[in-house]
Amino acid sequence: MWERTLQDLIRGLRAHKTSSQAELDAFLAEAVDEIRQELRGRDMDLKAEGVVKMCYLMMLYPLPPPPSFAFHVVEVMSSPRYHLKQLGYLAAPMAFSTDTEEVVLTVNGIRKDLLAPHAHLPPVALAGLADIVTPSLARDVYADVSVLLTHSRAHVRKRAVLAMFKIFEQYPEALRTGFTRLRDRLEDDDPVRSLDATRATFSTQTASSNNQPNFHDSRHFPLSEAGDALARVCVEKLSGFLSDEDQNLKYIALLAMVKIVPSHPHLISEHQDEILESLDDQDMSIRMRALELTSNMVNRRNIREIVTRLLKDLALTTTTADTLPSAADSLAKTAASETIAPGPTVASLVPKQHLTPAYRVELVQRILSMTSADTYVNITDFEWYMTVLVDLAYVSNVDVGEEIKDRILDVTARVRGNFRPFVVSLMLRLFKDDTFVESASQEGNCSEILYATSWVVGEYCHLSKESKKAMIEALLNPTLYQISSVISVVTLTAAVKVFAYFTAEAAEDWNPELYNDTKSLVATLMQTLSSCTSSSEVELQERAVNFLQLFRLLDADLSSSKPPPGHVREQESYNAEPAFENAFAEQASKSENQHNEDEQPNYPKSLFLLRPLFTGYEISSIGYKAQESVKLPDDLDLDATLVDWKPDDNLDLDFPDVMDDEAESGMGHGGGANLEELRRVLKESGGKGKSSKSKRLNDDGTAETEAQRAARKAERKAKQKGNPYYLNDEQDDVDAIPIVKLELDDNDAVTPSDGKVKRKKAKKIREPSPPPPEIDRTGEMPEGSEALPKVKHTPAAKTSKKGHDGLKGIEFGVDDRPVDYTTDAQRPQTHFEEYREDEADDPTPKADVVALATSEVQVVRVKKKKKKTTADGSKKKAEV
Amino acid sequence: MVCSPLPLDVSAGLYCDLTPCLNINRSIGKPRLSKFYTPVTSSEQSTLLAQIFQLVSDRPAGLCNFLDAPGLMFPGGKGRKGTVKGKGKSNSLRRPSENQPDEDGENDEEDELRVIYRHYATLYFVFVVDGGESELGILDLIQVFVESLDRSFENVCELDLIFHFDEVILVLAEIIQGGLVLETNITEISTRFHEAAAQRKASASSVKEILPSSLASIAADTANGIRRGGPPGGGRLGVSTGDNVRNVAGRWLQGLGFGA
Repeated sequence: MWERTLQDLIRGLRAHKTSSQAELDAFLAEAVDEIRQELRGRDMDLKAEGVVKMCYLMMLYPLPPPPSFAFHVVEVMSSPRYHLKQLGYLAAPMAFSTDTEEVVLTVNGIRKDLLAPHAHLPPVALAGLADIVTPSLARDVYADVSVLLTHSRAHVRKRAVLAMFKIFEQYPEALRTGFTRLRDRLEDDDPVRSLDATRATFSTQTASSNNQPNFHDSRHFPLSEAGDALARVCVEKLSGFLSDEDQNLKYIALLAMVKIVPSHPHLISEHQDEILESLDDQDMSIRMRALELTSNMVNRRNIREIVTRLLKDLALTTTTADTLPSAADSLAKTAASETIAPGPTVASLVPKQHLTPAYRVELVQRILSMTSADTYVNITDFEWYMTVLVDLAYVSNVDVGEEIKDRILDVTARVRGNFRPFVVSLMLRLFKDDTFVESASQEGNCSEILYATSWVVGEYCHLSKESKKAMIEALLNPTLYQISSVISVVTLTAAVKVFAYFTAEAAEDWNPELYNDTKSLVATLMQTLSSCTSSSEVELQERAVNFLQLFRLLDADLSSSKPPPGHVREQESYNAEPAFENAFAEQASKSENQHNEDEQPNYPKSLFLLRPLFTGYEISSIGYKAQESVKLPDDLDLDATLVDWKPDDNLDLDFPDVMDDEAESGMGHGGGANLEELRRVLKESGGKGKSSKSKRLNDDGTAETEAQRAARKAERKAKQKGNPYYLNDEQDDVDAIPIVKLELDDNDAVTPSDGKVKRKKAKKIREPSPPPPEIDRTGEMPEGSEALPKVKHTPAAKTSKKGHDGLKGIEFGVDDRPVDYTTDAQRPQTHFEEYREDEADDPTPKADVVALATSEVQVVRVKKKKKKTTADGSKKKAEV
Repeated sequence: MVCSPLPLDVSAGLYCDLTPCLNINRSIGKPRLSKFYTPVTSSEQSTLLAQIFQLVSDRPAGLCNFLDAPGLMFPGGKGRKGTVKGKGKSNSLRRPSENQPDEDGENDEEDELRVIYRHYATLYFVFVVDGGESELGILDLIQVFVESLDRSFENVCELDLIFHFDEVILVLAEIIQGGLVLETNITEISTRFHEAAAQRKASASSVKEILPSSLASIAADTANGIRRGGPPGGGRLGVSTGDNVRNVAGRWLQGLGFGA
C-alpha cells in the first residue's frame, strides 16, 4: 500500500497552490480519507503519521477531525516508543477540546509518563499536560506533578513548576498541598528555577527583576504607592522616549503613561504637546495608543484643545485630494468635479490613506466618550459641546449618527437655562443646510442626527425666538420624510408641536396676517399628514391619521370663524369634511350668540386645541437609580384587603352557572412565580366568600333557594340606588349627569401634579439671564427619594436657590471661565468649515454659514466645505 | 536585534498566560504554523489569522512592532475600555470568557490582548499575548524563537519550517509550555531540542519498543545526583538518586506492559 508521509502531503498541497478551490478541496478530501484509513490500521507508525498529517491539515484549514480522532491520538500517546509518544502529545491539544471525553483515557498514560524511569519522558508528558489540562485531569495528576517539582533534573523541575501553575488554575484545591512544595522551590539551588517559582507563587508583578531597560518597569510598579519623585522621574524618562526614533519605545512610552495617568495626571499633562503630536504618527499602532492616552488624560482645562485637535484630524481627512489653496481655484475644481460626479459627494470623498473608517469610528467614539465621561464632568461650556456634536455629524463620515443623536438628546434634556434656545437655533441651521439634509440618507452621513434635530426643535421651540413658521416649514421639508420612518414620525410630531405653540401664540395677537399664516400652515401640514397616512409604517400612519383628524377640526373651525378685523386677502377655503364643518358651524353660531352676551375672544378657540397635547410634562433625563429609589408610601399596605366583601351583601354578578365552575381557572395560568403567588393569595383571601360558588351557599352549607336569591338581589339594588358610583339601569335621566367643563385653553389645567407647578415656579426664579449653564447630572429622581451623593465638582457653584423639587441641577462654571455669550457672534460655531480653511490657507474671512446666507460665495464655500453638489447648487452655479 | 542571547529570566509574566496564539505568516498571507494556547475554534482561528495578516502586512517597514488597529477583533472579544458601549463592532482587544463589567478598568488591563510581531525575510512571526506580558519581552522572545530555530535546523529557511512543522512545534515547546514562557536561553533550548531529536532518531530506528538509551540516561542521572550530593528533596522521589536498579527495572517493565 502506498503511504503518504507528512512531507508528501505538504508537497501535494504546494502543488495545488495555483489550482482552483474545487481541486484543492478534492485533494484535501482524498488526503483526509487516506488519513482515516491510516488511523484505523494497526500499524502504530502509520497511525502516528496519520495523526500528524491531520494536525497539519487542521492547523491550516478549518477541517473537522475524523470521528474518534481523539481516540487515535490517545493510542499514539500511549505508544511505548518515544518518537511516537511525542507526536501523540504534540497532537493532543488539537485533538482534545474541553469537552472531549477521551481526555479521561489519557489520565493513566500521563501519570505513567510523568513518573517514567525513562528520563526523557517526563518533560514530554509535562509539556503535553500543560496544554490539555482540565479540572478533572488536574485533580488526577497534580500529586505526580508535585513529585516532579523535586526531580533531579533542573529542566524537569522547571517544567513541573509551570505545569503546576496550570493545574492550580484548573483545580484550585491542589493549592492546599501543592503550595508548600512550590514554596520550597523558592530555595531551589538553581536560581533560575527559584525565580520561576517566585512567579508562579505570587500572582502579582511586584517581583519584577527582568532584563528590560528600567523604564519598562514603570508599567509594573504600583506607581500610586511610589513617591511622587519616582513618578516624576518615570514620566520624564518616558517623555524622552516619545521623541525617540525607535517606534517601539514610543509605543511603550505611551502605553506606560496610560498607567500613570490615573495617579499622576498632572505629570502627564505637562507633556501634552508631545502626546498630541503622536496622534499624527504615521504608525496606526502608535496613534491608537496616543488616542487612548489622550482620552485618559482629558480634564476640564484641556478638553477643548484636545477635542478640537481630534476634530481637526477628522475634518482634514474629509477633504478630497483636489482641495486647492485658494477659493477661486477651489470653485473651479469643485465645478469640475461636479460634472464628473453629480450628486452629493460627502460619502465618496477619499479620506487620507491612514484614516480608515474603522479609525474614524474609533476617533469619534473616543471623542464622545471623553466628553461624556462621568455625565459630562469635563464639559464647562455646553454650547461649545453642542457645536462639537454637530461638527462630528458633518465630518465623521462614518455611521456614528446613532451615538451622536443620543448625546444631543441627553445633553439637551439635562442642561437648562439659556442652553436650549441655542440648541434650537443650531438645529434649525442644520435643517437649513439642504446639502446635509439631502445627503443624510447616504451611508456615513449620520441621518440619525435629524431625529435629534427634529425632536429638539419640536420640544423646545417655545424657548427660541426664531420664527415658528420657519420652523414648521423646515420640519415639513419633504426630504426629511424619505429617510426613515423613525425620523418621519419624530419630524411629523415635531411639526405639529411647533404648530401647536404657533397657534397658541397667534391667538394672543390675532390679526389678519396671522390668520393667513395659520390657514396656509394648516393647509401644508394637512398635505404632509395625508401623505403620511398611506405610509406602510404603522407608527407613522397612526400618528398621521390622529393628527389629521385634529387638523380637520381646526381647519373647519378656522374656515367658519370670521377672519380678524383688518384687510384680509381672500383665502381659498379647504374642503373639510362636511360633518365637521357643520358641527363647527353650529358651535360657531352658538359661540357667536354667546359673543353678544359677554366679551368673547376674537380668535377661534381651536387655536388652543393642540398645545395641551404636548405641554403635560417637561421631559428630563431620568436618574440612574430613579426606579429603585421610588419610595413606598407609608400608608401603602400591600397585604391589606382591597375590598372588604361581605359574602351576602353587595355584589352578585349573576354569572351563568358555567362561570362558577371557572371561578378558579378565571385567574388564568402561568405567568411565573409571582402570579402563582398572587393566585394563591387570592384564593386564600377570597376563601371567605369571593368565589361565587361559596357565595351561593348558605351558612349552614345548603344551596340558596331561588327566593333567597331574589330577595338578595332586591336588597342590593336598593343599596345601589343611593350610591352615585353605580350606573343604574333605572336612572335614565341623562341631564342629571353633571357636566364638567374641560378648559382646554388653560395650560395649567392639564398639569397632572403639583410637582409640575412647583417646577414652573422654580423656572421663573431662574429667569434672570444670562445664567450659567445648569446641568442636571443626576437625572430626575422620584420625589422624596433619598438624595444621591452629590458629586462635588464645584463646591462654590452650588446655590441654595437651586432646589427644584427633587431635580438636582448642579450649576457650575465658576471655577472655569464663566460662559456668557452676550452676542450671537461670540457664541460657539461649528468649526468644520474653519478646519478646511486652515488647510487650504483660505484667505477669505471666517464666518459661519448663516452669515453667508445669500451670496454666490456661499455656494462656493458650501461646495468646498462639504463637497456637496445638489441640483439646487448647480443651478446657482449656473447663475454665477 | 534587540538583545540576544538573553539571560535566563524572562521578563514579567511567567505565570501569566502568554500567547493565546502564535503564528507565522508568509508574505503571501499563507499561515505556516499556528499554535493556540487557549481554546479557539478552528473557524475563529482562521479568521483571526487572516485578519492579523491583513493588518500586519499593510504596515510598512520602520513602524513599531506592535499591532494595534481599530476593528481588530479577537474571538469572543468585547468592547474595549473607553470605547462607546453598545456597538459590537468596536475593536476589542479582549479575551473571551471574561465577563467583568466594563467599568472595571484595572482588571481589564490583564485581559487586553496585544499583537506583537517581527518580520524576517518572507515570514512574519506574530505573537498574541495578554496584558500581563511585557511587550519588549515578547519581542525578545520572538528573536529567541527564531534563533533557536536557526540552531535547531542549521541555517533555517522557510522550507524547513514548511516541511517540518512538527519539529518547529517541538522547538516552540522548549520555549513555551502551556502558554507560559519556559526557557529563553538559546543554548539550553537547542540542547534540549537536540537531545529530544536524538531520542526520536534512536527510537525510530530501534526495533525494540523502549529505547536502549533510556537506561544510560538514568545511569547518568544517578551518577549526576550522587556527584552533586543529590538535589534538594531528590531522595524522596522515584526517579532520582535513591532508586536502585531493581526499582527502575520494575517500572520499566510496567512501561512495557502499558504500551502493549
